[in-house]
Amino acid sequence: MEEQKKVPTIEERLRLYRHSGDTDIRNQLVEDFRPMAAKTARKFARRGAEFEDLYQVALMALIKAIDRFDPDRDLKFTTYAVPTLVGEVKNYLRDHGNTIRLPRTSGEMALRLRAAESALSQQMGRMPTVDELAAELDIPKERVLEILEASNQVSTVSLDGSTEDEDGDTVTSGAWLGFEDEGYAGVERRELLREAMSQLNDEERKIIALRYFGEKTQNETGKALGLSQMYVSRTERKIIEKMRKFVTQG
Amino acid sequence: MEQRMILEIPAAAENMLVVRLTVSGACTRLNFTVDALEDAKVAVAEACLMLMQGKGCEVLRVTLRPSKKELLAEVEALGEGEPLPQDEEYDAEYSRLMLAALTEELTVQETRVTLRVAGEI
Repeated sequence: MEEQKKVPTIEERLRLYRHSGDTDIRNQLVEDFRPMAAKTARKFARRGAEFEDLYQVALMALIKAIDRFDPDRDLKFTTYAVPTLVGEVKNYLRDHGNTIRLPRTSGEMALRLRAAESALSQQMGRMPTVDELAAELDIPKERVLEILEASNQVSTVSLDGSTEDEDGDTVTSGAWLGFEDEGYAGVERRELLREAMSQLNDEERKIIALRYFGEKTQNETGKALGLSQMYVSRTERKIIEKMRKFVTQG
Repeated sequence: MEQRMILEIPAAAENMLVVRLTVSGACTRLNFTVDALEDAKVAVAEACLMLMQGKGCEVLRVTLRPSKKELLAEVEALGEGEPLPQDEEYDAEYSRLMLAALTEELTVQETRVTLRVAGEI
């Protein structure tokens, strides 16, 4: 009878990778633990940080954890990896908190809040407290909390998630955003956006149009424009920063 | 006098916003930095979600004890009802490890989680 080939366990593969350095084994391990990276990114997708960015950071941290993990120590891989992932994501949030993209529905107050946060953290060399932000913006503390919380709510809902319209047809959640923008506030915002868009060059405008009006992912945007996802990600951040400066400083 | 805030809410994921805002309020009183405040919210909400996976959790009692530059939180699962629908993505080990990474001190029991988070990180 033919002997059935035994599939190596994760521990065995970690050991195998540690001793061989075979990147195929590492790639497989990354695939195995990909849900853990996604979960970490979801838990920390807050304050306007994009899930996709945090997911990339968590995946890099996962690779680092796989590279550094010593299977000969009496420790489970997850025990070693989870704090590594959480730590890297938190570091990213701390370091990039000032340049993280704001969800477009958070409104002008969220933009002001982020600008104040950035200015105060540069001034004081640490992140500001809610009290300090409230004093800076001359608004009640509760309002600061509401804006922070609203940013959380917006950023955790996927625009690509499906929902039903009035006729019971399935549409993406993003399709509803147009309705929220109705009214004078919407007109003002669109006007502001149009002016901010006029500050961008051709390539930047195309990226924004595909990402935010075409609802394309960074990958899809890159493919459509013949650019890498990394380039799109970097450029997008620069654009948002440029637009934010325009909106907050005029 | 010891400062203590107690919040009792039906054990449901949609009530996590209430928990998060309450934690925000408590941390603001302690002058937490924004990052520390966000971590405190994630930690207490995760503790709630953890206990909600337990058998018969109907009500969550969240006790917050703000003290000098740190927040002590105790989350208890109350009730003996039917088990709530299980979250397929829930992973007890992951939750515990994530909580450990976010807190200064953590104790996880069957129906109670206690944790301590610092105000500046």
